[in-house]
Amino acid sequence: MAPIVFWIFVILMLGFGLSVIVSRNPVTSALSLVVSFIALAALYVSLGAFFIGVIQILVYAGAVMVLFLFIIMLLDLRVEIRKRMNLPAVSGGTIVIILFIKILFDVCYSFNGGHAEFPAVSVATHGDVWTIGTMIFRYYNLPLQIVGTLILVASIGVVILSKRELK
Amino acid sequence: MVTLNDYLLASGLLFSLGFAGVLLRRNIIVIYMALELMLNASALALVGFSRFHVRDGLPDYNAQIFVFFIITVAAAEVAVGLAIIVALFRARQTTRVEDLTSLRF
Amino acid sequence: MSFPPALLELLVLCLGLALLLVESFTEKQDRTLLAYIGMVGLGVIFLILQLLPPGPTGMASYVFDPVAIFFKKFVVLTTIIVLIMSVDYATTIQRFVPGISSQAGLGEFFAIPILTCAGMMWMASAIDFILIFVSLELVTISFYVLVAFMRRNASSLEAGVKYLILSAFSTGFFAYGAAWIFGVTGNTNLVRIQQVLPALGAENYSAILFGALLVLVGLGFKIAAAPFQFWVPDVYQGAPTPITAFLSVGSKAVGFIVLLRVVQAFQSLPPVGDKVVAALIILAAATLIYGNLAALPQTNLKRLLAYSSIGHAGYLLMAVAGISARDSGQAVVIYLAAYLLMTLLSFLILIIVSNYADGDEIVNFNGLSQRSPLLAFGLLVAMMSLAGVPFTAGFLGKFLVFKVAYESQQFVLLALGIITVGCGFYYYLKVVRAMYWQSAASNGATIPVSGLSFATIVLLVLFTFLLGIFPQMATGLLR
Repeated sequence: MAPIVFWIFVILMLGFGLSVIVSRNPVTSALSLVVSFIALAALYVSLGAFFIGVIQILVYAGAVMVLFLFIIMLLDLRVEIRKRMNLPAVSGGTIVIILFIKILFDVCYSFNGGHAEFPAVSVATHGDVWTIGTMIFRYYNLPLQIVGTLILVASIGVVILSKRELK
Repeated sequence: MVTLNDYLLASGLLFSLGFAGVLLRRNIIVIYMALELMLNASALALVGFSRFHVRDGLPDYNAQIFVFFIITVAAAEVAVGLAIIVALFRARQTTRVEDLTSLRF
Repeated sequence: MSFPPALLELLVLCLGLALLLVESFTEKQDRTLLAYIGMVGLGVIFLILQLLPPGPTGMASYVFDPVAIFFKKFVVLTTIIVLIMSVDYATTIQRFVPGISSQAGLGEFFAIPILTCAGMMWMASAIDFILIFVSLELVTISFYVLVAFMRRNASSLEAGVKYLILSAFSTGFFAYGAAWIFGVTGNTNLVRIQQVLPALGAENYSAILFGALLVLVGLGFKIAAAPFQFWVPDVYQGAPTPITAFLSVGSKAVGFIVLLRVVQAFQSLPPVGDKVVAALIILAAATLIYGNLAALPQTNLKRLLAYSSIGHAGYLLMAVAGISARDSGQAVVIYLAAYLLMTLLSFLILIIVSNYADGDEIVNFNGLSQRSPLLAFGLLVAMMSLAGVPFTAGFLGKFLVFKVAYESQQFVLLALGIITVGCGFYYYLKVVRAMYWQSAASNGATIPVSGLSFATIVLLVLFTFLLGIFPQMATGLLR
């Protein structure tokens, strides 16, 4: 991918990511999150991960975001009133984050092989959906079953927590 | 030329944004969105590393499968999380962290 | 007879699903029947575990070694006792879950812990980050539901929200750390990582350390180590009491097995492994100090037990930090076994007494020795063991942990450990004083105890003493 396109998507992703955490209207946050996730999907595609890019859009930009928006509308959340900030907490948090970013830069720049171009890859004979699907069912069957259990527990939980009158 | 480092930095900054959102915001739903940013940052790092570790001329699909599981789990987590938040809102009419006061340190 | 070990979790899963099905097709039946079915089913699983020898499983990501077997037995036993507590706690659940019938939600309250148990058993065997991640999340998501279960109780819901946010936060750290470890080593399997690490170039040390520390932060939340402990008191106090017990015993134990396996894998690369151990030492020291000091002023027994569980995480971390000593793993295992006995014993008695007195304050225990000598004696044993009085299981655990700290030459931790044990005596004996030296405020009637709980209390007390008097029993825990 041309570097210029890459940087455009990175800026979109980070810019709207920033907008998620600074905007005071939750609806704005949710919609910014959609844009950020779509840019992220574009980055996945630029890395040749087409399947992941597609499910990113389907699951996140589709299902998860609709859920978020629906809940925000359901609860009728208004624009937050700016409240007195808790100064020690905010400054402490900011210091932690700045330290984290500093460490991150150090780690990234010392990481061996990170500066070279990506090694060449050939295109998978059957495409990456086939490859991932085969691997999931052949080598990752147990995690798949566990995720199935997890979704079962999650659905029972949602029913328990939100049904008005349990029978 | 775009290298692995650029992807890693992008993912790290996304992670820090999520981290900052959790630490600094007070609205539970926005905190929850910030948590999604953190999970997605790990997914981006994994996909970048998957392209970086080439096996038999193909990207290392193990990492992409990890991402697949992260996305599935995150979706289930959002569903349960929002159900709890709605239940709390019905009981208390609030989504602000400070209003969770019946339990204190 | 060859019995594939991976079948065990599937059996537990089937048991949970069967309970859910029975629950939905029987309307009139008494729901506690489900809990009894669950206990019997898990008892059978426990027996099978007792008979199965460790051995290869034919899967790269799943092991069945003595440690895995111990932890599986541990979580099955914990779940059985949690179900026993849940039966006693059913009236409170009925009060706080709105429904048309009076038994609404009870079936799920008995079935979900069994599914959680399956997740914990998977975690005990997992040695691959992907498998660890999904089973960890299964456990976490079922705890979200269980913690917030009492929908009419605002503090249960608030505890649910707090647990939700901080767990998801720790999941983010865990996943990001796992991503970095994968990035550096090209593997998600801990055994493969252990083999690959020694060949790592020095320029990648900071990257792998970064990944390891992020994973450590993620696990630190799960095991409630300071400074990641701040969710614990509120969540433990707000959650339904059986779930609090489940969180403080089961969830903590599986956090420790993952921690042990990860730390073990990093020992193959000393420059990084040493730094990981240094981080563990700092965590252990902070946890010991915080857990024990913050417990001093508590007046609510449930909250006191929450702080005490933080303190015990500190002693366990001490044992993990002494990974260079030969017996480190064994000390963790024996300490956890003792911790199971004494913590579940105190929670069981707490449930019985607070059901009757309608409160978990220590004041509610005033004069318990005159009203119900057995309950008072049970709690006395639990408190003595938690404090580490000789001839109880807790003493053996602490002794082994201190021995490991001595052998791995962590004298600062050792000194801290001994001082904090002194603190422990103060706040645990506060409960004992209330029971034996204060007189009962009002109703002096005997507190009714169901036969099953009575038997459980007697067994737990018995084993607390047995483990303390015959330490050689403990070494049999890891065949």
